[in-house]
Amino acid sequence: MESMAIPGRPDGPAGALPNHRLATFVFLMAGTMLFIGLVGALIVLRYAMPQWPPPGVPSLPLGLGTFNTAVILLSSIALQRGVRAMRLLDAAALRRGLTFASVLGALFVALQALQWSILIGRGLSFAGTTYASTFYVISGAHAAHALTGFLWLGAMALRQRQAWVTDAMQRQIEVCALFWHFVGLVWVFLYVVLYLL
Amino acid sequence: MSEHAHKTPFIRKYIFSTDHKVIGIQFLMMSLFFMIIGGLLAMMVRWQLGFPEKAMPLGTLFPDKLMPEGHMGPEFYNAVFTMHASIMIFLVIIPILAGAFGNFLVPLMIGARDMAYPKLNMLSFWVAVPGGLLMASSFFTDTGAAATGWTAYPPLSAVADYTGVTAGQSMWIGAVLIVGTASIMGAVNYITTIINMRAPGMHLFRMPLTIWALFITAILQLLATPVLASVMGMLLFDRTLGTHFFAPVGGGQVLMFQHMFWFYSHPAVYIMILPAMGFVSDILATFSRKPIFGYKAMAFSIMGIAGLGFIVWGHHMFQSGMNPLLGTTFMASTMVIAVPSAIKTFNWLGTIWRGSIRFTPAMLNALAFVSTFIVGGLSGIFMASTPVDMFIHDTYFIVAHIHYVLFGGSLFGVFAAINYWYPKMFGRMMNEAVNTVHFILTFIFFNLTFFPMHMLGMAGHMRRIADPTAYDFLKPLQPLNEFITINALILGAVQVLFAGNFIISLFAGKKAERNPWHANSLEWVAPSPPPHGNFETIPTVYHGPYEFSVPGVVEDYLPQDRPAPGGAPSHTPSLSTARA
Repeated sequence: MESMAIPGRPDGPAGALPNHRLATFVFLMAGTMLFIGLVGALIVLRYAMPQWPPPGVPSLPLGLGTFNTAVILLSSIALQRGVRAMRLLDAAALRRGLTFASVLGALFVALQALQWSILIGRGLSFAGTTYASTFYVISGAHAAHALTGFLWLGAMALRQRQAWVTDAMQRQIEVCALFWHFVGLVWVFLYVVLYLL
Repeated sequence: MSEHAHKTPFIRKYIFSTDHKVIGIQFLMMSLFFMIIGGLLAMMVRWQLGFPEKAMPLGTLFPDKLMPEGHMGPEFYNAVFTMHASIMIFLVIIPILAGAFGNFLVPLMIGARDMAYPKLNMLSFWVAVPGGLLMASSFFTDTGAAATGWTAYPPLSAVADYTGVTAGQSMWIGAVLIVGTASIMGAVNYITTIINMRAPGMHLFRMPLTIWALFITAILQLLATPVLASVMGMLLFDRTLGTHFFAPVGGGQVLMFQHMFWFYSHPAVYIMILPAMGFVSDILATFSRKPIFGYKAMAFSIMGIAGLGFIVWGHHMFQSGMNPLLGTTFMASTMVIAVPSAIKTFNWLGTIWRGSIRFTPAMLNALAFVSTFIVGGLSGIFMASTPVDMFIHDTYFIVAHIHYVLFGGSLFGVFAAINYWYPKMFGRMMNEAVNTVHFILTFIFFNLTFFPMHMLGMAGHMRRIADPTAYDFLKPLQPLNEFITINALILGAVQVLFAGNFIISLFAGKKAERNPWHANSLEWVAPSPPPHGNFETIPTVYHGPYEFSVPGVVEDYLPQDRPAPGGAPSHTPSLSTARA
């Protein structure tokens, strides 16, 4: 995305945010609406059922879910430490942050996949109940975002080899960081909705 | 960037171009291509309704399975009207307004060299194209194209056996998802560009109303389309993976689909009309040689319509079995939309009131927009009222209404916009005489086609039936159906004038000067057609775009980049408000 930007000219009435941050926030509003749509459907389907979860379905592994929430939050923290290092011109620490964030992100997605396979093994089939379908669709939509995020983080960790950070790279890292924090934040919200409520 | 534009290879310049103007023209061509397909489908629908017993001309060219001996069967009819609506909505009106004119006009009118993200812009077009082709190609699958109406309500759409359409419906869902993705990419770009890339002096309240309309439209697209994506995704799972999101048998909720679908599709109605309202505002002011009446009221009423547009979706569902109390609140919120709409209408009238009107084809089409929008708006109030809707729901009254706002509104707006911006897009003028004749005939036959549909609806003629003669109580209405069909066929034929003029003028039209209409907004400051990078130097903006007939100025217009006479540039949003 970095090469696409024509930065706002300094003499123009450019807003408080540079293009890349503004565009990312705008894009994440669309992402928010996607999850609002899905969670909205979950709420409707949930209150249409006399009992939620329906009797006889295996329960979600709360421990694994909680652990995984911690994983993605740690990943966000690692990334933020990297971004702070970038502002302090510490390219090595930046790369460390990107790598840790990406690895933790990969762990998150792997644990989500493990969780799905455990649940399918216990008989929570995708199409069986609306309880299962909504869980799989919502966590799956989120995992697709997380997959994109950790691959992107990993690619940047590999590309950032020099002792300096180019402007274009810096912009891309900022965009990716906003996206990754969004993925983490959405998961915290989904964790509450899917596991706790 | 512009210095190496000359040696850009063909494929980078015209096919995978990142220039917003080329992308805009690509969207225009794509939409016009699909408009031909959608229009031909409409002709087929009308033939079937007018003359269900006669074989359709050229009908024998279709495979026997679809049209045995040139007669359309009810299954094929379902696919034809479904695809007519889907193509016109998703592949014509939305991409031509937001994609074509949005791309072409946004950077030019705000004084930028290009979009904030030119490559994302290119991607948006090249995502939209396969989406469109996927939808259109579903006709060629074994079981034909989607046949559930463009609203794709489950359970009809969720179970393949109900319509007999297997792959076609799923391809339709996929196409909607893909086109929606393109739409979101475009919206991100427009919003960023309009907020961040305006020329010096281009305050928000100095932007032309076209830009205000495109800006608000982009916000609607951004926030509404993802909800459509979520509901279409669930529908696709119901069809292919056996989930029960919308199937009561597994605990699903049929009505939830309608709620979520209309949560997108009602704002989408405004996505399909707000940009046209913006074009018309600019065109009316230019050809009346007067400032737009109530500029800020116009901008705020666009926001009002868009904001209210998110809380009225239930008015599509009065007859769905939804809680009647909910229906009443949706009725109230819907009626409130009449307020900003009326503000706009009266301000348009105030704009042309006692103006020095020039009846160019663009102006004529803009005036047609205003008048047909009033008819469509008023018939909307009938349906917004729950007791009346109970009677006219799902009849030809709604068909008349949607065509008064989408053809009479949006499409006349598109004709106006093409007439108006054609010189800027292609550097040549269209033939005005031909386009005037095209306008007059289109306006007459548009009304003769769609106005009688109100009467059909009042008489109880259901929509989406393949053969009106199969119902005894509709038999007396058949002459009216035949009348509509004849006018519709002429309406379709008349469009050849416009298409021919469009194509011939590309090569043989008179060369256009920079500012053929003597308008004020920044696109007219750039050469016609503007080169890559748009402006020789980025203009500085001194006032709003509606400074027509300003006292003390020799000409009757004052471009935005020219300071008002008498010293210091005005710092008020526009001179017109100061004068008023």
